[in-house]
Amino acid sequence: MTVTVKPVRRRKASFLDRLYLPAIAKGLSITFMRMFKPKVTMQFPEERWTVRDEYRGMPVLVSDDEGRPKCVACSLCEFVCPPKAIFIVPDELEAGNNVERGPAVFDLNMLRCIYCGLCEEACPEEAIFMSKNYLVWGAEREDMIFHKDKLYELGGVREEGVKKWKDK
Amino acid sequence: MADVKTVFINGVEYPFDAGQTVIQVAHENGLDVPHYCYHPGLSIAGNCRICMVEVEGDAKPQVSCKLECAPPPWVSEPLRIQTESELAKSARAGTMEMLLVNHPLDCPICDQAGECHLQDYSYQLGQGQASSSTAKTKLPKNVAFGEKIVYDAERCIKCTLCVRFCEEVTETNELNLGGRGDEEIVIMSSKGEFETDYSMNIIDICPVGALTSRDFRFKSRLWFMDFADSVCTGCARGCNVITGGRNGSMMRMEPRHNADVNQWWMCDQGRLDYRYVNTPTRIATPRIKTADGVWAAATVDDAILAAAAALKAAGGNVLVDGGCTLEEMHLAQQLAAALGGKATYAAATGEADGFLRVAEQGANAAGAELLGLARATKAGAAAVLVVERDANVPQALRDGADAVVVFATDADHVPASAQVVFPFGSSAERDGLFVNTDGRVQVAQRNPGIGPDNLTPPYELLEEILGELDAGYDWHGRDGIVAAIQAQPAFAKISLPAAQATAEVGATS
Amino acid sequence: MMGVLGTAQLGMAPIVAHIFSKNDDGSASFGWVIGRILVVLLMVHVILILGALMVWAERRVSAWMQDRIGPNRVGPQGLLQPLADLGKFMFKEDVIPGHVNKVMYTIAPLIATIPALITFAVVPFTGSYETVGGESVAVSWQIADLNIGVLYILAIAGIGVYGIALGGWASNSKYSLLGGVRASAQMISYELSLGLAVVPVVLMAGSLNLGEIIAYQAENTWLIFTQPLAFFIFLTASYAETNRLPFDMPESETELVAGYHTEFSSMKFALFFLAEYANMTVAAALVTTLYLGGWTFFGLETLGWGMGVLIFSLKVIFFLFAFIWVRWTIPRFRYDQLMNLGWVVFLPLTLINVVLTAGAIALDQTWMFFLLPVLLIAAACVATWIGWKRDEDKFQPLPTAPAAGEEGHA
Ligand code: SF4
Ligand code: SF4
Ligand code: SF4
Ligand code: SF4
Ligand code: FES
Repeated sequence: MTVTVKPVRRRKASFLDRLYLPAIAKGLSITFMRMFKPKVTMQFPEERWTVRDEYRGMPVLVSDDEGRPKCVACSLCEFVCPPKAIFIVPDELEAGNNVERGPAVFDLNMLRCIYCGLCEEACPEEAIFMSKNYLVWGAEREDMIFHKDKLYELGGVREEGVKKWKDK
Repeated sequence: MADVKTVFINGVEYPFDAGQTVIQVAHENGLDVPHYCYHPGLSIAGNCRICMVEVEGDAKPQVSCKLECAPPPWVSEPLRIQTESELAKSARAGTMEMLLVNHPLDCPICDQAGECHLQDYSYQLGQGQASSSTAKTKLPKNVAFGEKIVYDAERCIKCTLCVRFCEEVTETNELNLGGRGDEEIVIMSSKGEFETDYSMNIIDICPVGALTSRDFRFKSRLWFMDFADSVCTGCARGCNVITGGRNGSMMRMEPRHNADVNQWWMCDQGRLDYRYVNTPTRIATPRIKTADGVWAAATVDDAILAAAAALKAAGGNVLVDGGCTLEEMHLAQQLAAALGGKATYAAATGEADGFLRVAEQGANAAGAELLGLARATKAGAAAVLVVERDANVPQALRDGADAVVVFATDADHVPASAQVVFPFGSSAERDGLFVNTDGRVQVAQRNPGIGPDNLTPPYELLEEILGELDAGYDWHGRDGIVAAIQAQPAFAKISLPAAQATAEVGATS
Repeated sequence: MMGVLGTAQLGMAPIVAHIFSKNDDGSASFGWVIGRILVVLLMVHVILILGALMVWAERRVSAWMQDRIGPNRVGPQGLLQPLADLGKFMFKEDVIPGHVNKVMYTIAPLIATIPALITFAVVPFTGSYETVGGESVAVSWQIADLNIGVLYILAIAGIGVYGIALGGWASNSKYSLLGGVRASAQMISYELSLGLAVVPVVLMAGSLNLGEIIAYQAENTWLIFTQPLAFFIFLTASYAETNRLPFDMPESETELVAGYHTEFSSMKFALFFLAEYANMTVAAALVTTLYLGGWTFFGLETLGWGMGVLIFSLKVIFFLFAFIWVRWTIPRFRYDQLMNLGWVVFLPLTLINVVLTAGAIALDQTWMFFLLPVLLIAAACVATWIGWKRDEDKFQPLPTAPAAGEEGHA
């Protein structure tokens, strides 16, 4: 790409500029006046941002409208997850569950997760969602590995979406 | 009648043998023609219609699995087949659509996903959109076919491969088709259990996930697993297999085609035999017994030095598992010579079943005999003991050996007399050569996904110990060991594959 | 008894006065010593607390100037934030890197802090009028009434830089060393102008005693009016002396990580921190005393010694605020600019100022005191103007245009 260069004549510092003091006085007056202007700080825990719909917060697992866990442990999210934040041990579920298969272990390592949303994208069951939750914290490394129950608790019930196993 | 000996497939002329069908010639020549109900080891049913190809001059496509290459007697021109023409493709796409009309979208919970022909062809030919709006049929799921197999009628495409297998290969006839139309499913004989020990082969040949293994059920996704070509060490037949494992655990074993050994099959006992690999008492690092009789983990180097020191003091014989590789047995011989003793091998004897399984259980018993190792039948003193399986080297032999240096997979197999213990890989974790009951040399390859991390190959350990014994042994590496074995008179007529050769190579004597 | 913080002057109850007074023969009594120690402790705590409050003020004021709120969680208006910070400092791991000179590394923070605390001993913080020889004289109160108060302060404050230079050197790290070297170079360059800016004050007041300087100002006029140039240079030089922006070369975090205290942690770091704020307080008190009449304010101070403290405090607080204000307004100088300003601008100006002031005093032409600064400033302006005029070309040279078709960079 060719860039057209247009020479601009730049003035040298003027007499007043050279004295410096006027500029310093001006600067001081600006900062002084600024002290009485309205503040923009948001008082965080009490005040919160309105999180937009497309925001990708912590991934969580959801249950269907009957409260049954939706994940079938297909391990696609585990496969697609770029930083390998997900670890699943699939297991056979007893009759009466959503499906015959579900996770015995579903660990989400939030120290690894990069909030890319690929798990949500990959999930064929619409069982994992990027929530709006941006407050992910833990006092220890262990705390940052979220287990299945916690993930379902955070995810809650999501009524829309595929319900493939409903009539099975 | 003209004597036509060739067939044109996609414009290329190929010769064929009498009676061969188009799909066979195509597959032989590396052409990919989709198929479900066709299996080279079974009779041809021609019921799934996915293998449709275009025969030039015919308005209708034909199933290539049943279409003989020889043209009808009144035609003197070779057949001209198009496997990828528009007609062939649209015929297959139509077949796919019909197959999928009632197929559940089970892939997320289906163990076959990843190696499912239905998935593969659906990607190639499917439309992604169903034109039928009727509800899918509901059929029994999770039906037990005996203890080892789970049947899912919804996923079944009624190709009858499983039925034909039980009819033609095992001749036990446990399976048949029942019901009709939409409701047609595979049913089991009233006995409810297979009489044959080869039943699990139907899991492999089932092109879809209708038949899955109870043992492997939901254990792991295929795409997480590591696979390696190996041989089964369950008996001296040495069926060719593919081992599959993940994160150190062995997950499954499947037969690999070898026309001269096991064809496409293997027995269930051998298939499920792998479970000893995952025992919780696996030995992962070398151990040395300290002065006060407590075991302490050691580095490989320290353990080698300790083993050499212990052996210099003890001297004596070497007893190896009949499932050891040729390389390991050869080195055991060298070690015994250096210690002034003799090398023997131990192996169990079972029952032959008249098909694949043979009575000899030592996977490399034939190799041991070729090398000149005697078979240990009763307990005798041995300074070095190599135990892979409890069955081959039972407790009596282990305790009777009074061994100081022990190579073992399982901590429970270490006799009280041991002073240095090395972790020994299972058959899935070691590279090496095996001689099967017919004198055929086969290559086993290590599966990196199975077993403890950083397992030092036993042949390296044995060489290092030999080197430390000051017996004038030079380090050879695996190629050198194989060359040394090859140089022996007993192997004059056998050509051993080079160490790095793939498992495909398997020279016969 | 002049200038001594005597109990009689505090107007306490006679019994208290008796306990804390000297013996009748003028020698130190036990009670007097105790009282003295109490006052010293009080002053030290005042400085320490002021230092802590300065940290808070710095954060709040800088926040306000940047449209933020600043720390407001700990205590009312975040006033207890310094306490929380202190707690944090105390419980932080005191890391002593393996490559440091342990002895120097440990005492450097102390060397930096203690001078800042003890200079305060001679600063008068209030006073009263007494009749001496029939004349009403402003008598200042301070902890120690030194005849050479000004010299004392300059001397002791000069020691503080040892702490910084030593800390930088003992850390055995390149950033720290550069910071320490910069601090000493800066100190040497500005100590000159600082000292020379005080000379006219001393000349005019005729004493090195801070109390007497205040008395002179109370009698005549504040020296800021007669010596504005000296005031300005003293103020600027004290910014440089305290390593505050725009002259914070020794720490300049954009180049030197944290300069001389890069390797310090926990309370050692806190001490450096404290030293900086204590130095600021001393500098502010000194400016107040030397140029703004200390605790006097056009007769308001006659209301009592408490009023004197208030006046003094307000003046100091103003200058402390100015420290913060300037820090968040003016960006850091380049090192060559800093040196230029010190040696090429301030030094000649102060020298001329000293000579002219001395001349005026010798000729006893007091009116010159008012004219001199005007003249000097005018001269500086004219010099600048001439320099600017001589620069014929008012524009920077044009960049050479790239040849046609050649690819340029935006
Ligand atoms: S959001 Fe991305 S990184 Fe996080 S768990 Fe999902 S796939 Fe993994
Ligand atoms: S992709 Fe969805 S259904 Fe599959 S394991 Fe992940 S969350 Fe469960
Ligand atoms: S049989 Fe194949 S297509 Fe059907 S559910 Fe299983 S993996 Fe999917
Ligand atoms: S179970 Fe599998 S092999 Fe048997 S008929 Fe069905 S699809 Fe074919
Ligand atoms: S493979 Fe030819 S019809 Fe099934």
